[in-house]
Amino acid sequence: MAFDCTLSREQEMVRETVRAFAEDVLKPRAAALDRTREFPHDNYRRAAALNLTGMMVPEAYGGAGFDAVSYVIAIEEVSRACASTGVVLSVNNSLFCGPILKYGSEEQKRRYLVPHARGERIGAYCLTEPGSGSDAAALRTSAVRRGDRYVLSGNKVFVTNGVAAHTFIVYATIDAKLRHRGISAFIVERDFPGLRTGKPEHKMGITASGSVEIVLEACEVPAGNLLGAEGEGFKIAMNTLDGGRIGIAAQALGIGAAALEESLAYSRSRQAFGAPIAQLQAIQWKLADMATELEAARLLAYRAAWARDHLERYSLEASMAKLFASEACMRAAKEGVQIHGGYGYINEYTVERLFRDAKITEIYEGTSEIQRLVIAKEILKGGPA
Amino acid sequence: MKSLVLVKQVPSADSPFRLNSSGTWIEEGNLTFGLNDYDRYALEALLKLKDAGKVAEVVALTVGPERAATVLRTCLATGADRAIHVKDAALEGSDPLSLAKVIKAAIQGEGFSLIMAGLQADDDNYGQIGPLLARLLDRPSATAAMGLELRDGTTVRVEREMENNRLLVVDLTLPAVITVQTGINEPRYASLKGIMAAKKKEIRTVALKDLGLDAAEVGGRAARLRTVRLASPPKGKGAEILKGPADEIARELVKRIREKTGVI
Repeated sequence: MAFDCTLSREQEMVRETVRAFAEDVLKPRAAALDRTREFPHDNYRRAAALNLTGMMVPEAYGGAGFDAVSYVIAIEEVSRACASTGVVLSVNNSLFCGPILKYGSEEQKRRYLVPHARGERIGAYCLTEPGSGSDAAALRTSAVRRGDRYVLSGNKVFVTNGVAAHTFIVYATIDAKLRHRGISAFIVERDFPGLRTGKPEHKMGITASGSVEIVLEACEVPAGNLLGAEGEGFKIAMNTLDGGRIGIAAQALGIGAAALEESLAYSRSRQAFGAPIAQLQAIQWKLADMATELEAARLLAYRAAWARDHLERYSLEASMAKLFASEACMRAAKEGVQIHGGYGYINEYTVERLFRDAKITEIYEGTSEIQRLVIAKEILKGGPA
Repeated sequence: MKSLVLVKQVPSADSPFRLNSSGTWIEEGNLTFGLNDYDRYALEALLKLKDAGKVAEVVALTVGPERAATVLRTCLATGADRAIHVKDAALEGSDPLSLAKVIKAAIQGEGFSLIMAGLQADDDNYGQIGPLLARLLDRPSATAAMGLELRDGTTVRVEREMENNRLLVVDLTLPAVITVQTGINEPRYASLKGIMAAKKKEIRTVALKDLGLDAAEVGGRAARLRTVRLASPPKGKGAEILKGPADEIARELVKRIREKTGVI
C-alpha cells in the first residue's frame, strides 16, 4: 500500500472538531495554566469527552479506534492552543495506552487500558532516572521477585502527568549487569504501597504538564502487573518511544503552527517605517521559512503515522519526523520572538510562551542527538560499514 | 417524538471576504465554510432533549450545493440520527420564501413535532426560513429562543429574548417551529466516536424533481427577492479611544457598556 497524504473525510473532521475545541476551550486557558503550573484536569476531562484520551485504542477497549494520522492531527491542534495539554494527552495515548494495547494481557487491558483510554484515569511513563536519560539501558531502579510480587526500588524523574496520574508504567531492572536484557516493565498504581511523588519539576516550558519525581521505596507490585515478559522491558520502552515520537512531532507542529500564526498576525498589524512589517522582505523571508519548514515537518509526521499504521517497523520514519518537526518548531518559535521584537520577550505575548514550550520537543522522548543516532543506524544497516 | 434541525453552511468568519465582480455577493473561491453558528445551538437544544429521552430522533436538513453536505456530516458526527440534503443547481439564488417551500416539500410525511433552526444565518442574516416554514405548515412559531422546555407531548414553552435582557415566555402547541439565539446552551463538539459512527448514518439527497417542485416557481431564476448590491461598511468616524491608567479605562468602559447595552 502506497503512502497517500490526502486526508480522508474523517481525518478532516477530526481536525475540524479538535480545532474548534482547542480554540474555544483550551486556548483561552493556556496562558493562565502556564503561569499557575496547575495540572489541566478540566482540559483532560473535556478531551476525554471527545475521545482524545485513547485515540488509537480499539473501541472494544474504550478507545476511539482511529488511525495514527488522525492522532497526529489531533495532537497538533491541541498543542497549537496549549502545548502542556498536548503532551499530557500524548503521554496517555502513546506512552501509556500504546504499550498496554500491544504487550498487555487481556486482564491488564480490561483493568488498565479501558479506563485510561476512556480518560477516566490518567497514565504516565517512568523511564528516565537522575543518572540515566539517553542511555536508558543504564537505569538502576531494581525489581526483585518475592513470591507473587515484585519489589521495586529507585527514583524516576521528569515524569510527565506524574502529579495527577493514577497509573504508571515503570521500567526497572531484574539485574543491572544484564544491561538492557534485564529491564522489565511494570504497571504500578499510585496507591501501591511504597510509591510516592517527589517535588514537582520547575520547568522552563510546558509548565502545566505535571512533571514530577517518582520515588519507589520497596514498592510492592503484584506479579500479574509485569507488562510483557521479564527482560522484555527495553524492547517495550523503545517500541513505545517510536510511537511517542510521532506524538511529540505532532506537538512540535502545533507549537510551530501557533508561532507562525502569531507572527503572521503581528507582522500584519505592527507598523514600522510607515507600513506593516509584513511588507518588509526581512520579515517575509522569516515567515516563508517558518511556513515551509512546518509544512515539510507535517508531511514527515503524516508519513511516520502512516508507517505506524501500515509497516512492521517505523523507527526511521518516527525519528525523522520527531527530529525535523522539533527543530523546525524551535526555529519557528525563535523567529517568532524575533519578529515580535521586544514584545516577543514579554509574557503578555503568546510567542514568549511558545518559545519556552518549543525547546522541550528537542529533548524529551529522545533528544535530537538520539534521533540522529537512530536515523544513522537505520540508514547504515546492511552495508559493509 | 421526531425532531428536525434546519442547518446552513456559511463562510467561516476568519475567511478572506472580497466582493465578487458584480458586487452582489462575496468571492467564494478563497472561502472556507462551516456550520452556521446559530444552528449549532439549535442542534444542541435537540440533542439535549434526545439525551433526556424526550425526543426520539433528530434529523438535520440543509438546502445547498454539494459542499454543504459537510455540515450535515458535522451534525451526524455531533449526534443527529440522519440527514436530508436538498441539492439542486436551480436553487442557487432562490429567495427565502421559495426555500421554505422547498423545505416543506422535503419533510412532507415525516411528521416532525419539533422543528428548530438558528435565529438567522451568519452570511445573509435574513432570519426568515423558520417563520416562513411555520406559516407554510400552518404551525405556530417563536423566534430568538433563550430557553426551551417540553411541557408534555403537546406543548413547548419557549423563553424569547427581548430588548434589555427581558424574556417573553410563550407556550406553543406542537408541532411548532422555533428559532434559537446563540447562548441558549453550550453546544457539544463532535467526538471521535461520533465521527466514526457518522460514517454509517444516512444522508438522503433530494432534487427538485424528487419533491415534485418546478424550478420555474422556486428556483433562483424565479426569485421575487433579488440582491441588488452588497457593500462593505463605510469607514466609521465614531470611534473613541479611552486614555489614562488601565483601571480608569476599565471603569469607564464598564460604565459605557452598561449605559449602551444594559448587559452588565
